[in-house]
Amino acid sequence: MDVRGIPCGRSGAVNWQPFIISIKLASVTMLLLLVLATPVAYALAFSKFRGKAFLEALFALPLVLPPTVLGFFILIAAGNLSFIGRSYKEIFGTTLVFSFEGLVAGSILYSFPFAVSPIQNSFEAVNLSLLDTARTLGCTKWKAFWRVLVPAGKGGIITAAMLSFAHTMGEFGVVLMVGGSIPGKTRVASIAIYEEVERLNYHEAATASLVLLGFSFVILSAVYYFNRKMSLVTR
Amino acid sequence: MIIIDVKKRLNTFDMDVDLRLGQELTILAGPNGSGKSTLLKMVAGLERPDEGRIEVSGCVFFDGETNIAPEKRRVGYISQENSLFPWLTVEENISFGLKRTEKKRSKCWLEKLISELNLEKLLSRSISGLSGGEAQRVALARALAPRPRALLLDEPFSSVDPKKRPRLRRFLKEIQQDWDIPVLMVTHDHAEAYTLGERIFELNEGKIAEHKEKGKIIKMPFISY
Repeated sequence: MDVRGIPCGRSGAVNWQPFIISIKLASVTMLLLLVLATPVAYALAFSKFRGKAFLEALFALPLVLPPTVLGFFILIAAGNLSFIGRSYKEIFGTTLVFSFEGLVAGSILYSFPFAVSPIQNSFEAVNLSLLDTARTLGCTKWKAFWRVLVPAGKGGIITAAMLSFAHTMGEFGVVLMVGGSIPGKTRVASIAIYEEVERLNYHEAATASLVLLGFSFVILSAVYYFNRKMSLVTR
Repeated sequence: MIIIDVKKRLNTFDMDVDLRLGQELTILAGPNGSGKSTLLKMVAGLERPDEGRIEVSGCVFFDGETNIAPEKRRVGYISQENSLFPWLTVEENISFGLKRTEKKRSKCWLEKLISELNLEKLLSRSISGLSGGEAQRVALARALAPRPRALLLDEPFSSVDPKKRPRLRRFLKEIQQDWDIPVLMVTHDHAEAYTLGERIFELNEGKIAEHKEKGKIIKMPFISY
């Protein structure tokens, strides 16, 4: 114990390995989310179909569900007793739970609304006459998507990428349930901090927390900066 | 030659239009919600008629069985709203409708177009810095760059300063005459309609209510305002 009564560890130095796993997890999740969330956002922005509100509510569930609840469902769905878990094991020869791949799957579900919502909003804000004009100028629907919708909705896509990255960096409940805390494999920064606190290594926990805080602040500042910049460019 | 013979059930009325237009500048006038913009969109391929036939310069765009996609119709379309792409420069906007290979082949054509519309000094500018008149000239150049079969204009000068409109009208008239391209234009502005139009069609609730040609007025007997 130090003089202020705060328990401290031996070194106070940051163990970077959980941060590297967190960054790797956040990067993979972000890239996969952009690929998966963009068509979903497109469908929600431009299609009218029965059950659209139901689907939107389903995609938004991770916003209100406690991460442990979501993590528990994923754990059950991906476990060896489930069809998904058994099929995964048959194909890849390893389990989805307590693996990095399992963490990625959980993170995608957990951060899905953070990727879909900004992209959907930016698509909905695009003036439809731009798309009409592009069609009459020789663009197929697919080309109009790439040449008009993506540049016009660039702000939303960048925001989605940054928010999914930052949200995955800070996730705790889902990764703990799905991945546990296997050092060098599934032990991410937030879990490492939790374990340092449990061991009463407050200095290590404080240093690692400050790193995570600074990182999150930088990402969010970048989101707001890009949003302002993009709204000026596309106005 | 443009043939538009279409029927479409809309929310508040049924559209039923039969028009045969030559290589001239034709005006579509009429009150708000009378179906003018819908008719232009049908020719552009952005709206599908329920039945009928649309033909431009001998090419059948729609006849119930055939419905050519907008990207294959090769018509220049300028919508009511400013539809320039704000993330591109003026030059990039103008050449948007040209494929890479076409850009090289169409260099002389583009230079002529840019010069006729007096856009040389604006090429590197961003769209946000353009005045209403400049933006419409850029939109006109972009619509003409792929050498369209016809030009469809939906109130193209509504956002332009009224003082600058006469000059743009002259531009449009000259281009239509020099390049012998059929132009179908929607406008609310009577002065614009009478200055530009060789023929003027008044549309009301999806039907031709009145047909005017330079110097004479032909009332449609079956429609009353």
